[in-house]
Amino acid sequence: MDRSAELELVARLRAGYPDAFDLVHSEFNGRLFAFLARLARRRDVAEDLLEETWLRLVEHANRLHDDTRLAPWLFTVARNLYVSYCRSRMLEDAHAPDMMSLWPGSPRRSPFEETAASEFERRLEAALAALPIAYREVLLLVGIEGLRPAEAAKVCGISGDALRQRLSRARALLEQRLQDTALPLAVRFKEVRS
Amino acid sequence: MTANQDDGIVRTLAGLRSPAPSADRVERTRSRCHAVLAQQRKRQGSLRQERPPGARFVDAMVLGVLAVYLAGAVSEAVWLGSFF
Repeated sequence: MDRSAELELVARLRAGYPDAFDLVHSEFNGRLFAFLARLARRRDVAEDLLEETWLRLVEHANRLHDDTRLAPWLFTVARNLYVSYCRSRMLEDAHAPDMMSLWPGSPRRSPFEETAASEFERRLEAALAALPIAYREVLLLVGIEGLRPAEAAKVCGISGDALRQRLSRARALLEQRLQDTALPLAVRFKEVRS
Repeated sequence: MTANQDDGIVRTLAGLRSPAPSADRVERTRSRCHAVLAQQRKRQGSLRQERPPGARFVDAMVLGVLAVYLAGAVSEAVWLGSFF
């Protein structure tokens, strides 16, 4: 969505037009759900938080600034709702990753490619889900959602420098965890060959 | 870790398939949001209806008459007070 279209959309949203809401909804609903599902690691929680995010938008629509950037605004609300949820339930990183059942199948790959891709994606998702929340959220915002570092910093409520440091550590940790999960497979392979 | 490896990880993350919310939940959320927007528009509309275009002028007239009355009352009281 280019900036002028976004500004017009914000203006129409402020005026309460349902078609403007529908456009924003279709643009961001999937992205927000993926973000929340990877943060919360539970489909039901992600769906509840997603609904709350959209309700916040329509309740505050007439108070949006003219120059509001929708992506950071929506991701900030979604993130803050998740933080509030964690505080209220005192949940943090206690569960094993439970995302695997959420993945859709890939229609255009051969079974071999599918298996290989799924295996790697599973490992990557597991490694991502095992990261502490502070690192996970910056990787989700910058790596998956494509937010600019300045926007992601705003969403997380930290400075640009702090975000860059956190992002660098998050990448290193993710890489480390991916290597850790790959090691047992290699060892097993050697054992079979010998 | 090198910059190339960093880029590789970010590219891989960007390529991950994402889960989707259930269709009925999406529709329910949309309906709720539309209802909120409709309520807001209705409220704004009724507020506008309660205040017709000439309302500000009438308000100003009433305020002016009230001010003149009050000024008269105060000057009357001061005039009466001068006798005591």
